[in-house]
Amino acid sequence: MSQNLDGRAGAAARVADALLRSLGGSAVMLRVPGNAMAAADAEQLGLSEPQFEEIAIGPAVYRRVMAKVADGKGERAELLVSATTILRIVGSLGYASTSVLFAQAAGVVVNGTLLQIMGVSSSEIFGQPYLYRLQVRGALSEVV
Amino acid sequence: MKNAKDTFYVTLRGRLATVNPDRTFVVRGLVRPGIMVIENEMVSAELPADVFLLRWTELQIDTLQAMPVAVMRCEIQYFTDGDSDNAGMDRGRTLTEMDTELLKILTPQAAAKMNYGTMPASLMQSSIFWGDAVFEGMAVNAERVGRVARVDVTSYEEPGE
Repeated sequence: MSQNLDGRAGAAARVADALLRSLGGSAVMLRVPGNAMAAADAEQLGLSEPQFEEIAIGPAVYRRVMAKVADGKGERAELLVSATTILRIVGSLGYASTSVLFAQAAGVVVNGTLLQIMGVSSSEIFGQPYLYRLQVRGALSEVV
Repeated sequence: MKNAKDTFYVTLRGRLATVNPDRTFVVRGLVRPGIMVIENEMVSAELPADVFLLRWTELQIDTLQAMPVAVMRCEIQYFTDGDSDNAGMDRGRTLTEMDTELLKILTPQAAAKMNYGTMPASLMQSSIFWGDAVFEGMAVNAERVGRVARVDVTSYEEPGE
């Protein structure tokens, strides 16, 4: 399960995974765009959108950290995600690093709602991450 | 108006590839000239450094002419941290290089208007043209320096646009 994490870091990752599951950990979808099309102006001019792929990441725990406090501002939430899954995705899809993966992602889909990733931090042990914390925000178009 | 916006961007992109072929950035695996229109890209929490970022802001339309005339303001933002190999101490020089490049790609101040909604892109009857860029003062944010330049782009609205 923690095939990308070794030794003591792997143990920490397993503990984090167990904790996420005990908190009701579920799978959310990371929406990742396909590669940009070479020699095509359409995407750069907003005439077409890239193909998206949704990848399940879990166990994950979603929690609101700030309610909607003003018009035009979506509520903020954070997503705690297992590092085991993220590292596996980075390796299998050939991303250079987790920061590249999250920077290129269009967002995460939670209960059918696309949330934008505003920031990412990780908890580490012995230099290896065992948990990722994603700060996410609902799209303004979905603010009522 | 979208044809004018598209033409302005594609014109500047082509000129930048000539003026400084090394100013590039990577978007989803594709190496592109270092210029982008923010409203045409995926929403991102962070904008790339060392890239010209175009943002369309104000709009005025004169409908009293035989053909309506649209004047659209384009704010071109760019910032740099300098080269990390130089500990960022060349950030002022890098910003000046970007000032110079921007001036070069804005000259000449006109381009034949194209319709990129067709395949292949088709030439339209009129041109777009723009005035001198108005440069704001240098903005300093920690080790990052940047600037915004404003350009008013004028276009005749052709029938059917």
